[in-house]
Amino acid sequence: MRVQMEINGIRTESNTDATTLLSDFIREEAGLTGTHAGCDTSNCGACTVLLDGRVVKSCTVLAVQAAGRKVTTIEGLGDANDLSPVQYAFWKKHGLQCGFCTPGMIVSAYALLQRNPDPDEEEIRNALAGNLCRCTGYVKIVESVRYAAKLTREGKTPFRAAARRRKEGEIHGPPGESL
Amino acid sequence: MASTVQSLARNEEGVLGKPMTRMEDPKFITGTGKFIDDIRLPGMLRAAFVRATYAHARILHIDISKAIGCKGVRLVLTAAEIADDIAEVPSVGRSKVATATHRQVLASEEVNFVGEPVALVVADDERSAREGAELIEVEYDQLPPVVDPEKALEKGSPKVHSYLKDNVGYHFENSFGDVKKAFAAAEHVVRVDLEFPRLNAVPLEPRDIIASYDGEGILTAWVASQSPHEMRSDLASILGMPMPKVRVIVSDMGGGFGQKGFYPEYASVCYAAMKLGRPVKWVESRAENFLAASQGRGQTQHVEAAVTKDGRILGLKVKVICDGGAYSDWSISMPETTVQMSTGTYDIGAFSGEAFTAFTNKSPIGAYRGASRPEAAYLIERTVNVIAKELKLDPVKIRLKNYVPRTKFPYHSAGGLTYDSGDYEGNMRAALKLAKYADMLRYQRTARARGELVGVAAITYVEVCGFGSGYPQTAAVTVTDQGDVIVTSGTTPHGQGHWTPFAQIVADELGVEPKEVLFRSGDTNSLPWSTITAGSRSAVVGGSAVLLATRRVKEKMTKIAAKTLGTGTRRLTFSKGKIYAEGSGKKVSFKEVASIAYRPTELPEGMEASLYEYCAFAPPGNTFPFGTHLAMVEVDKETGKVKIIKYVAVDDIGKVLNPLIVDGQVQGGVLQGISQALLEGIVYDDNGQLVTSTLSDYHIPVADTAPSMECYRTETPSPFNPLGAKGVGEAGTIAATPVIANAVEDALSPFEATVEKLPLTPSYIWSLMRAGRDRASEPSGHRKAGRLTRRST
Ligand code: FES
Ligand code: FES
Repeated sequence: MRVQMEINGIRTESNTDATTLLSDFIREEAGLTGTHAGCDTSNCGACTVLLDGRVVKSCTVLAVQAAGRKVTTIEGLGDANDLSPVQYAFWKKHGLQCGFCTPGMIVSAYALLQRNPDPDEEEIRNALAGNLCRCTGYVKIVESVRYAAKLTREGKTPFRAAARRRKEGEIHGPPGESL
Repeated sequence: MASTVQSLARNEEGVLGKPMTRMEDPKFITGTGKFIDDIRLPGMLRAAFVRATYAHARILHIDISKAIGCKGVRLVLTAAEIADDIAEVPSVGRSKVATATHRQVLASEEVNFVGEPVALVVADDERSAREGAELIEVEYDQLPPVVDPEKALEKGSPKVHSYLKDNVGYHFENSFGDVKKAFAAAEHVVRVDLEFPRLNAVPLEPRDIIASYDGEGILTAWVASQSPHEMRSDLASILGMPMPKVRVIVSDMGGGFGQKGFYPEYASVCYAAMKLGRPVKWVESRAENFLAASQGRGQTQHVEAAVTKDGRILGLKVKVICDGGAYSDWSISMPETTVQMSTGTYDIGAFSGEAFTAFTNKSPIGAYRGASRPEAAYLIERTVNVIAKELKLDPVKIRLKNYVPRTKFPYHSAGGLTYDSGDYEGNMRAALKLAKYADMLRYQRTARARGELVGVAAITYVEVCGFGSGYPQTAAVTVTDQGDVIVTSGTTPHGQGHWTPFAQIVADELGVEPKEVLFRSGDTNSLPWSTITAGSRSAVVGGSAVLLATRRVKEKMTKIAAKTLGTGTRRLTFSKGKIYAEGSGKKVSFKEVASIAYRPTELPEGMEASLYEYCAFAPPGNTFPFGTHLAMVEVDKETGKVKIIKYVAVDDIGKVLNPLIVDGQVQGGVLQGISQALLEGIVYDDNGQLVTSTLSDYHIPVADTAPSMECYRTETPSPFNPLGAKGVGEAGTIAATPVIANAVEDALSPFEATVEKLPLTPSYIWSLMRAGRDRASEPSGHRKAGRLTRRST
């Protein structure tokens, strides 16, 4: 069947099976491989995306259920030339190791900061309870989210400023490097 | 003792040792990493496996007819189809202590554990492959399953493999000093029995591979592997191919923790790709990972300690039995290291140890973060705790009394190993201060007065890392004619973040910026050889290889610069992209020297053009990181649930390359260690069926219940590598389990409970509390005798 949705602001349409999961649709049809799959029992949260702005595990939603709706994946939050505060904070505070859980973790953290710009440690840990990370022990993930909240509250965008300077030829080297 | 190596003098203005953020991160935070499942090749097919549903059974018949006709199915393989073309899975070599097993990549006559691959289906897409697999019917004749490792070793037990004389997969013994005399002289003998369950490493990315076979007869396998070159030799030997025709590429990897070694599944997927001439991808489900990926730990431990009345340990007897699973590879020898490390940080004069690995009808045992050392630290730190408890001695004082003194390094342990360097007392005393131990005890006293079950513990662990004297790690360093620096690393990352500390090493040596250093790894075509990324050896052995290769490049550049500047080579320094002749004010840019290196006519007499150096670093001995961890826990009286109130880690991993990364390693490791104390345990039922087969049954820690923790360090450099590093990857996983178990036991002291099993689930703790209550209500004459034997002296 024909399914159409808006992923990261881009209309995506494809012939797909009624049983196709949203996670597979995002990865296979839209070719956005930042959304990962780490389990088959909806435990891991590596597949977390926003559906009309709300956090969902995309392996628990059928593609047809997302038809006509807006999906935001990690790729939609920012790229290496234009990082969102949460992405930047995870980087600076070492909130990731292998990086497999990271996209889902960042999407959940992003959604938390949308509803609560100044969460305390407990609120952060609760908001991330659906996202498993086997590498970090969560300590630096919590630090990252706190830092992202601070940057957002203070309206600081060091990552954007650097991107601009790169565009204007002031900084060279791979994107993101000299932030 | 082996010779020491020349150590690296740190440049205080340099970047090495500073908390630099990771260079590899931008792709991961933007979702543009390339994990195997993210790679798409033209014409790629998908594979799915049919797996054994019994733990032990004879295969009578496999009916593939229904799958063959199925939509999208391209190929079905069983043992019968591949038998002529494919060799057995490599096992252990024939040796006195290890027993080799025969394993086919797809089970042929017998299945020996639930989840063992029996058939492979390749189809146009994943769903068709899985549906095809479901249509394959396998007829079995059940055989008695061997499930309990201790019973497996008894005479008359059913055998896992009928062609072997018994279920002994590995046997090891060693001893030191006069054990009899030590036990005769002791005023007390304390006995402890412990169980460390099997665990799954649960890397968040499961196992996966893409195999592709081209017209030139080259097989390329993108596979999540901790050891690409060893993967290449295993694939080549099974497929009967010359090694140069097999290329293994390790892409981004979502964690390994020891689990990502070689698996027979990979060989069958490669075979299918060769047969079909099209790329084939296999990505396992989490359920398959629980069934068929290796599991770690799985030890039963019996310990006897001979102790004086004031707590000096005179002798130790240790027996370790490992639940080895169905087939043997090198990891069946892991309990040997447990035995060797079981005297821990203590100077014990007499020791005897014995280890068995028993074959059982379960998924084969394998490495899991720490592989054999968490078990050893658990064994000795639990034992010392029980000694302190039974002798009514202070658990910290008894440790201080028994530590190997600082003056005795390099120390030859009773377990038979040579510890490179250490200062256990200094580390413990530093930890007590940093953690404010006195305040912890004060808090505990007040809480106890309120009737709360609060426990405190401090342990000092030591582990063995590096594993390099007979098993080097490799690296190559290139400087291009444009002056770009490339590190080609033998050790391959799967979360550790190799790029950044390695760039820091190179940057300080060559006087360039870390961001100018490019990192490559994981492709068997880009280095002649590499060895496994495991055993906390990446910085210690791999990082040293990077340093030494860099120094060789530097030496060559120094000669070129000297010729260009018309100076001697002795007083040239590399700094900020330039090479300076000290004193004379002469200088030449790094890039200029790099460019000259590729112009043969301008080079010093006899020098070959290009800047490329390779190093295989073999350290003179292993490193022995150590540290003290402290924990304070509260046990809920009603539910038996454990809450961690405070956790402090004070590790000594020698010289630190990048403290930010080190903190991350410790924190992640500690949570895994806490989790193996409180949450994790693989469960098989009496028929050998896996009970814990999903993340809903096998719990790993979640952010909202994980504790916060404090990390500190002391620094005792290793003399065995030029970086002075000791290794950090496994420290937390080793330290956290005994400290949590001891703290819980301390919390349960009103019930006189002794922790014997893991994990410490609420129901287990509850049963310990109930047993304590029952004992207390019995008339005293009927109380069960303790484990302590008092000797008349
Ligand atoms: S893939 Fe694990 S929760 Fe969706
Ligand atoms: S960074 Fe590896 S699972 Fe989170």
